[in-house]
Amino acid sequence: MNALAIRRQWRLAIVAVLAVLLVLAPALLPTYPLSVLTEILIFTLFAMSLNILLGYAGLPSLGHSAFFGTGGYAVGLLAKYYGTPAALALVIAVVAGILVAIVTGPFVLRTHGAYFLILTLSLTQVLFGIVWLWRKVTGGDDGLPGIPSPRIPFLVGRISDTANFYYLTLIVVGIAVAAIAWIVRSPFGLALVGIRENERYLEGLGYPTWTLKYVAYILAGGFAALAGGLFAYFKGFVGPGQISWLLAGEGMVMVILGGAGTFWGPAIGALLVLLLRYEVSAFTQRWVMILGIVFILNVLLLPQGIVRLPQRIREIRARLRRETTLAPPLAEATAAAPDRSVERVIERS
Amino acid sequence: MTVPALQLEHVSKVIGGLTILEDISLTVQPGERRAVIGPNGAGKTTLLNVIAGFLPATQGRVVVFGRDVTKLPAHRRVDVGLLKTNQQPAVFHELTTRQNVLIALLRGRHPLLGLGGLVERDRETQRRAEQVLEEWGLLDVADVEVRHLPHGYQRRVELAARFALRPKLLLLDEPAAGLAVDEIPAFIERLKQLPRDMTIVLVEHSMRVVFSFADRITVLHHGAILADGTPEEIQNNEEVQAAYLAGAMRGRDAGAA
Repeated sequence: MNALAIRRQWRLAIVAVLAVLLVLAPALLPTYPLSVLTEILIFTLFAMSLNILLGYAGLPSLGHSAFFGTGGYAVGLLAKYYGTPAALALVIAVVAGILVAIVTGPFVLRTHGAYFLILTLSLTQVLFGIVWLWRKVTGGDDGLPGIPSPRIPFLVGRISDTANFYYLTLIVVGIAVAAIAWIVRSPFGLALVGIRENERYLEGLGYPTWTLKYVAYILAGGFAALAGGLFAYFKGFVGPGQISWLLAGEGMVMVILGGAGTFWGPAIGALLVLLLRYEVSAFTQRWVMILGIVFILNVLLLPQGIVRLPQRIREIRARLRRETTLAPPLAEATAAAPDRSVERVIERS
Repeated sequence: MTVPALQLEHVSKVIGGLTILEDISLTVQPGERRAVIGPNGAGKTTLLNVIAGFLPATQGRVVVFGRDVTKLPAHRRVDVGLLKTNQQPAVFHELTTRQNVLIALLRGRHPLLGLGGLVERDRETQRRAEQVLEEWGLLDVADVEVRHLPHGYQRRVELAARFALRPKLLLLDEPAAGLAVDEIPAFIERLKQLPRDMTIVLVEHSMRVVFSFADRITVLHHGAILADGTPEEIQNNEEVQAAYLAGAMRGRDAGAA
């Protein structure tokens, strides 16, 4: 218990330092890295929203870009045709994402595993087809350019526009991430893990598993749409690329790379993928190849994600220590002995 | 007249043209310990799944404490006080023992499907979980992921989580399966100590467990009820002897002794 309390204090300290650094970032970073950081924040939200499904509930969605794109197009259309203010447009974007989830949930949630993946993929392709072909409204493959970037009025004139939008993103993403933290630490979040582990067992304990999955799907859709809306403002543009399944795949890479089912994993994944894209692409066009190598190494060496790195190091060190103290035949013998004491079994595994 | 804990009325289950259960009718009184035995493939596990709601009955009615639950999904049947254990312990492997107990205790405790609360802030449930863990001798392994525990412990976690919900009708699907021979007497003792306000339906291959625990025994054979009676009646029933018991008794006890 004591060790746990200490670890919790450490975690709080790290989060606090991180928060301070994020607030100070505009003073420390030039414009370009600051805009990369803005994008990282947006994709952190996107990856965390996908993590609710993929990591916690164990639902591998390859259609999460459908919500991202819905949010983006909601913002784009509202800005272009109605000149809606950003705060309202973002709320409408979230509502639009939630509506898409409410309508599509009953179809895709009939399935599990690979079939869920295929159905969500088809869903995003349907939406992709709509925005691609409905040129008159969505601009087709030209998309909707010229979305004005919103500013925090209070800060206009005091800091650069890039820093201003950065702070806007930081506030919105910060609130959303706090909300996701609440969700995964609630009994609802624990139940989602139960679904991932064994849906039937959870149902046997009296949980309405279908409803839980549906609500998780809707929440994830809402958060992804918020990320999509922010991204449209960030780019000043929304196009079919923001609804394409490739983006959903990239989200999946971020989640798995960082650590599916862990809270901070997706943030680390988003950071890594975007840094690779922007930093490595400065040296070589083949940054995707590097990403591929990183991904393979990650799956081989850290199958549970980068966020588990400290734990993994501890495990490996413990194993090395045990191997040096125990002569191999002796270790073999204790493993084979019919010793059913719990400590033994834990130690062995 | 007391309301029976469980009534099955002409229950049939057909899966893909194959009749697994055929016209099963039985009544279990409150507090009764009922064993369901039969050779492999007789439909015992299917019967429990139909009662628990994991499989819908093709025909017939399932009534629990006077309430017709035939159309209710499995999770709603928990509200009537019905819980079931699994052949493979129904535990969440990546969760700790404590979380396994918590997940059971937290059911329905917070509004909005549990979104209206935080697990760590619910001190009362945390305390209850601590009690349950102590009661079941699981405190030592409270924060160990269940996948690291041996089978016997996983079974205990499963039972602890279910008893935490205070079931009124408990379905046990081969609870002794996978236990070491020397663990079985203690396990029988544990079953015998269960409170009498709980009704138990037990599917079990170990005849030691069945004959030392059950008040009544139902014998299933090819999906139909072959016999139904007290342990003595079943032991002396020639049909049962011929179909199942002789072989089972000989095989099992030779192995167990």
